[in-house]
Parts: sequence; C-alpha cells; structure tokens
Amino acid sequence: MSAQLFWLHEEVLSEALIQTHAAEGCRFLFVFDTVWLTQRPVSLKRIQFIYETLVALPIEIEIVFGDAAQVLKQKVLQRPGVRCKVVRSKDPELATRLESVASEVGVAVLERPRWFAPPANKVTRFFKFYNAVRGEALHAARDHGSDL
Amino acid sequence: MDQLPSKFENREALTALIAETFESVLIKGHRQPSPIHGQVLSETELAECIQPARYARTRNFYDGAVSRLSPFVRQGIVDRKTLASIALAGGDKPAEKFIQELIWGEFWQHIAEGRPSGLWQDAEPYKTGFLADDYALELPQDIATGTTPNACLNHFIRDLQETGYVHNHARMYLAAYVVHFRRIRWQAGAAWFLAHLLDGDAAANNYSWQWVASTFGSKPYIFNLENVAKYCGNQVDCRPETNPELDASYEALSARLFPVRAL
Repeated sequence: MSAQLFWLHEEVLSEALIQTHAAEGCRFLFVFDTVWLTQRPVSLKRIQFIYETLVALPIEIEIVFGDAAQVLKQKVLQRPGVRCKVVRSKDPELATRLESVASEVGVAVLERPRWFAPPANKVTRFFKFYNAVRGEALHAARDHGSDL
Repeated sequence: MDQLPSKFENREALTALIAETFESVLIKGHRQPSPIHGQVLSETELAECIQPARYARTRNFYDGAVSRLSPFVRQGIVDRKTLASIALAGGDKPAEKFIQELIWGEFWQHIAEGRPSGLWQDAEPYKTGFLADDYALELPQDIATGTTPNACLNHFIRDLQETGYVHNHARMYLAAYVVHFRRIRWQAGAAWFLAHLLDGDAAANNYSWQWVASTFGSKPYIFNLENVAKYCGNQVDCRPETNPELDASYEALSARLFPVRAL
C-alpha cells in the first residue's frame, strides 16, 4: 500500500474521520495556511481553539505554519509517490483556496460527508428548505443514532 | 515554514507560541485565549450540553439552555447529524426546535453554495429607504472597542472579544445596531464577527448579517431596550440611563432609523 497523507483543515477536526483514515494507513498534516489566514484574518482565540483541538486528538498530527502549497510540495518531495487527500470545504472561499493548492500539488479532493441531500432546486426561504429536507434529516439522524 | 510542537507545558505556553509565530496574520489587539478550550468531546459530554425541551422554551434568553456547541460544529469536531441524533434520544417532539436550528446551519450552507461568489455581496437591495452607498464602510472605533454609549451592547462586545462566543439573540442586537443605528455596511460587521467568533462560519454569519440588514430578507430587523431587558435583563445592564440610544418604542425607532422609508 502506498503512503498516504491526509491534509486536515479547520473544518474537519473529527476524531471519527481521522480514525477512519488512520485505519487506511494515512498520516496527518495540518497547515496553518498563511495565505488563507491573510485572506481571512482571525483572532488568537480562534487559532488557539483549533490548535488545542489538534493536540487533543488521539493521533499524531504534524502541525505546520506556512504557505500550504509550499508545505505540501515539500512533503511530496520528501516522500515520492505519497498520495495526498483533503476534504472539500463548506466555505466557498476556503474551498477555492484548497482546490487551488490541490490542483497545484496534486492532492485528491474528497467530498465532505453530508447530513442529508439538499433540495435539487435553489431554495431561498428557510421554511421551504426545512419542509423539503425535514423527513430525510430526521431519518438520517435516527439511523446515525443507532450507530453511536 | 515553521514546524510547530504538539506538546505544551501548559495553556499559557501555547498562547505565547501562537502570539509569537502568528503575529503577522493575527488581527490587531486581543492576545488572550478564550475560556472555551478546543477539545474532543465524548458522546456523554455532548449529551450533557443538549437539553432539547429546555432549549425550546428558553433559547432566546441570554441565560437560556443553548448547547454552546457551535464552535465544535464549526471545526468539524462534531457534526450536526450527531447532535440531532442525541437530541432525538429524548423523543421527537422535544427535539424538534433544536433540530430546526441545526437545519438553519445547513440552510445557510445551501444558500452559499448557490451563490459561491456572493458571500460578501448584497443579495438584494436594502429595504430601509437607503442605498448601499449611504452606509459607511468601516466599523467605528467605539464599536470595535466596546465603548458605545450603550452598556448592554458593550457587554455583548466584550463577550465577542474576550470569549469568541456570543448568544444568538445578542448577535442580532449587535448586527442591527451596527447596520441600522449606526448605518455601517453589514460587510464590516460580518468581517468583525468572523475574526472573533470561535464558530465563525462565513455562510451562516454573512447571510445572517444580510438578513438583519434586509439585503437577504423582506424588512430590516431592529430591536429596542425593552426587548433586550426582556431577554437579557437579569444578566446585563439594561437601565435606560446607560443605554440612551436604545430606549424608545419601535414606532419611534423606525421613524428615527428609516426616515426615508417612512415618507
């Protein structure tokens, strides 16, 4: 099995997700991406919350501060043949940044898990959306409950 | 590129490392961590935070039984489906309101996905009688520093800046104050919130600001001191003499804030 590197970002600090990919032999990398943090500046509180979560997760995660594209290029150079993957972001702007780096470095972008499928048509009022998805949302949550 | 450590003697050591390493990208000021710690939560710990029946009755109150798990959802530490399944364990009826609020988060996501380039653009014109150009671009200093003429709002601003968590009702009060009482573009307030909130999610945050502003809704959201006192009065200074800009009826406020629309 070839080496795999899972590029974590600020929306996917899930122990369950990490354990699933660890079972497939992945190593984990989190980059505090200077390009993204310059585009979307945050307070120390937010960085600390993310950092504390990273070190609390029960698996080794390499933590780096730098330009994510440069960091990932270096990781690929250090381990030729390594397969990198990242989960698509919910945030349209972060998604653009991740996809740009992924395209530059050759990282596979995985679809993010969803609670339920959104309506096929664009719905712009909440209760139309709610009425369209409520049944599937409850069904999925009940099914999930039996897995917990 | 800096390789960062994953072990620290104590929390202060981590804060010091972040303050030094991240100096070039952090927003100015505010170099203290939140009292809310980043951590992995067990199912038992999650269940202790979720009280669906009390949530349904009290969620709009400043000291209501809200879960305060939004920072953990934002960072993907726990997902909304898991929270819904925990809530449902106590029965469908009590869980309904809690789950509806979880689905609000998915709704904002759906909206943002439908307009991926529109996160910072007005979805619709303001319904306030003013044009977008009538609103200032920058957040005034007294708002940024929590020194407005209104004690209750300063309290909520301290929550934002010192903890990174603000009750949802207080977020609406702050947003309405910024946009309608001070006539600042919602984008300035949305960026301010995103920088500080531990649960800062661009879709939910920005479209909620637009809803308050009326650029993603049919009318502007406003509030008065009586409303703040009803929901926050046992925790926050809501005296008329310390909140002079807010102490008025809705009719008087509408006439003052939206004089063009009233014509």
